[in-house]
Amino acid sequence: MRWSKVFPASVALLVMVVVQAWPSVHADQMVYRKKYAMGTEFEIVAYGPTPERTARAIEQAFKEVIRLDRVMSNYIPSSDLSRLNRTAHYRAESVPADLYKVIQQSLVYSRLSAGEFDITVGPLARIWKAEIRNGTVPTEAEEQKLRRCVGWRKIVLRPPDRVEFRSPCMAIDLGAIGKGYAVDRAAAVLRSDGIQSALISAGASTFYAMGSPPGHSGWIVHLRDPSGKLGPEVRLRGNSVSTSEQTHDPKPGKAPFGDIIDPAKGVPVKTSYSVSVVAPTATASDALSTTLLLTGPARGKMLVRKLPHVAAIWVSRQGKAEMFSNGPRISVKHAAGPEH
Amino acid sequence: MPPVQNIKEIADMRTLRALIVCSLLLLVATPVWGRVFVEWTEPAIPSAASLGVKDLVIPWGPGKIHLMNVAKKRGYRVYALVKPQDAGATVRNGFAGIIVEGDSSEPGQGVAQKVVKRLRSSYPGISFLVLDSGGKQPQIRGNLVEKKHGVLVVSSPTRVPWIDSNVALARYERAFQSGQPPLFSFSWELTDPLEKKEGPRAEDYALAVAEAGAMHADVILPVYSNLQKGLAAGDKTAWREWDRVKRYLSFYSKASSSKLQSVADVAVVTDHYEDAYEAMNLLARRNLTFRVLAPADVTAQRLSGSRLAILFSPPDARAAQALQAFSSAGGTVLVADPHGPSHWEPLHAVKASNGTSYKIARGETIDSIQVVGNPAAFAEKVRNLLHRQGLLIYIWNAVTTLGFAYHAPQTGSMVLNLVNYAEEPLQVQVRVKGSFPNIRYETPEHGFYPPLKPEIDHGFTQFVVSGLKIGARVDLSPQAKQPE
Repeated sequence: MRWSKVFPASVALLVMVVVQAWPSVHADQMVYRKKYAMGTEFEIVAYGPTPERTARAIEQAFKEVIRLDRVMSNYIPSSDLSRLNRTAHYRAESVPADLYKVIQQSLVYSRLSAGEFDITVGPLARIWKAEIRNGTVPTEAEEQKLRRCVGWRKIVLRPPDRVEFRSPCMAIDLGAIGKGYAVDRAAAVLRSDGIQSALISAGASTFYAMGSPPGHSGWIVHLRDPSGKLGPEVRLRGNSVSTSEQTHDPKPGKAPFGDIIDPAKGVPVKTSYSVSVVAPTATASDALSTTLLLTGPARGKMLVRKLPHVAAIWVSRQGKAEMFSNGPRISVKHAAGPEH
Repeated sequence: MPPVQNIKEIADMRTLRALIVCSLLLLVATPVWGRVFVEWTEPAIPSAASLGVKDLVIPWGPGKIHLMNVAKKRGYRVYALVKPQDAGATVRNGFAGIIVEGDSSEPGQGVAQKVVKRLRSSYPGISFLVLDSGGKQPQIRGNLVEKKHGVLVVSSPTRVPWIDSNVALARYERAFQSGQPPLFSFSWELTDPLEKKEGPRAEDYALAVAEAGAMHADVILPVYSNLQKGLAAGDKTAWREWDRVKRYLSFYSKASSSKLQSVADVAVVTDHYEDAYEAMNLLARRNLTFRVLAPADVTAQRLSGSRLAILFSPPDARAAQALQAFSSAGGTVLVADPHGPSHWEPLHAVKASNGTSYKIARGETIDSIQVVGNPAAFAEKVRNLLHRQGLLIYIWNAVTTLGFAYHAPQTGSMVLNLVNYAEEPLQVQVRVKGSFPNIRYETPEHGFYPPLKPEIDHGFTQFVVSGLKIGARVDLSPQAKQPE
């Protein structure tokens, strides 16, 4: 007779446990997908209500990234940016809302950094890339000529959607901000599809974290450490981190070549630092990582001081680290101590 | 059969018989193109015609003879996939061929090769093949690594996509497998539980087919069990997926009308896969065309057409002589021997006093270059030595695309196979050595495009192809187009 009371109660309890555990069992299933876009590998790890729904949401996010590539690429001749670069000289051209927004955001960082961040270095970047391929450097005359095409103040925005270049030879390159914007848009798509926990990576140089993985308080990202001595890392939750570093010529003793051009000097920036920047959005971290590589730690710290919820770390190949945080915490094994 | 009336009829009958025999031989002959062997494990099998495949592989085990008989009735040539120790026991079971799988180590391959050699001489009517199971799923490798307690995430400057390809493996196998094209297999790298449940996408299968086809290598394509079941049950979704794969199977099964030879800027001399692997991988990734030569195969003839020889294994005296002649004729010899320079005495007959670079007539020998320490610098060094302007193939703005070039000596034409590992449509700019005014471009998705308009300059031909999703073929002819 005792069983007749205990058994139904046990079954009821078991059912309750199963019912409560069921959604979390599903929520714990990770879905990982990757997609090549914008010249790099985009990757998303996400946890959602069901794996199938999560996978569909990720596919939608990738579609958004590919759509944005067709808007912002300067490799695709038919992209909106390529068209703008061909036609907007002394003539205001309408552009899609995303392109307008990215250019607008870029000018904010140009203003903030007093021109260290500049999306008009395109012509200089292109000639340097071509020269790098051929193993030569541009002549001073070539460089002088091209520098006349550079300068963020020569971009005029005419709301709501028109852009004009006040230079006969200007061309925009969104390589230092476009991927960050695409990551933010991918996050927005995931969010609108009900995903609350995800990590989005663009070529491992920009990450955005939504929520946290099950059982953890955030997504841990190990930051680039060219010295291999410091092991810096950051715990992301609802924010982003980007890393920038100048590429170097592999031949020892040769002048540093690289993709990141110093707009003030018109030549590839010479620095041994790798910079990682934590910021509330991927657009911000992407743009700031390039900017802070150009400024170096001294001026960079002053810039970060003005930006809430931003932190930066500069790590040299020799293991020297400089940090500044306006909120987020970057930890290192051998402290160089964040300044506040 | 009516009685034969006269000599003419007898002659006609002979001609007819000869024709029938020739046709049959053509049907069963091994194509010069790469073959796709579909690996099947499920009990139900759709017909060969519907699957678009002729060669089916069944992993050997209990009860597999029944599956073989079912597959034969469905129109397949059925191969058994066996371990070396089981090869002898499967011979008399009616398989069209036996594929012997050594483990992926070099000794394992050696055992499989010995077994196959013995069986080939004992059973000339059966096809015996050696399988290298050390292949990998062709793909662009991701950066995130799944660990026991989550995902390992490491930030970096934007990484150039890393291609996981089978080029090094196929090139090496071509040098060391006699009597067959390179044959390799791989396993799918599926990450999360959903992917493991659903299996690879059609694009992933297509990429594997395209890669093998472009390299003229044979591959065992493992069809995921879910897809096998769906295809056998006539599931529409499964067939929609497979139809996309079938386009690739059909595209790469078309043999060229001319006899083709692969062309290469670089000859990699090695008899030890592991020593040369990293270097071969880097050469492939940077679209530096290469062939592999065993040290015993190094002759002036085998080196002809190449401009650089990289040595990972010591040459014997005859090979050293051939290398010296190659160098004297303007070729460059790069010594990358991990065991030190002492083996290279035959090459050092003409030494300069400064450093480790020796000028030999018009050529050069560079001694003891570091490969493992700085692979990027090594690849850059190779590229600079070849003088990028003179490369056989140069591809711009397509870090996810590899090119495989073949030359038809009789016609002077060239075939260039392009494989885009990104699986996303690309526009690719290509320059090849030679003057080719007539260029046809085709993809499995689109078929032939209108003839391309090349730019020919100083013995090089430059052109742009668009819509390159996964695989494509470019036929380059030195003959000007006939006016229509």
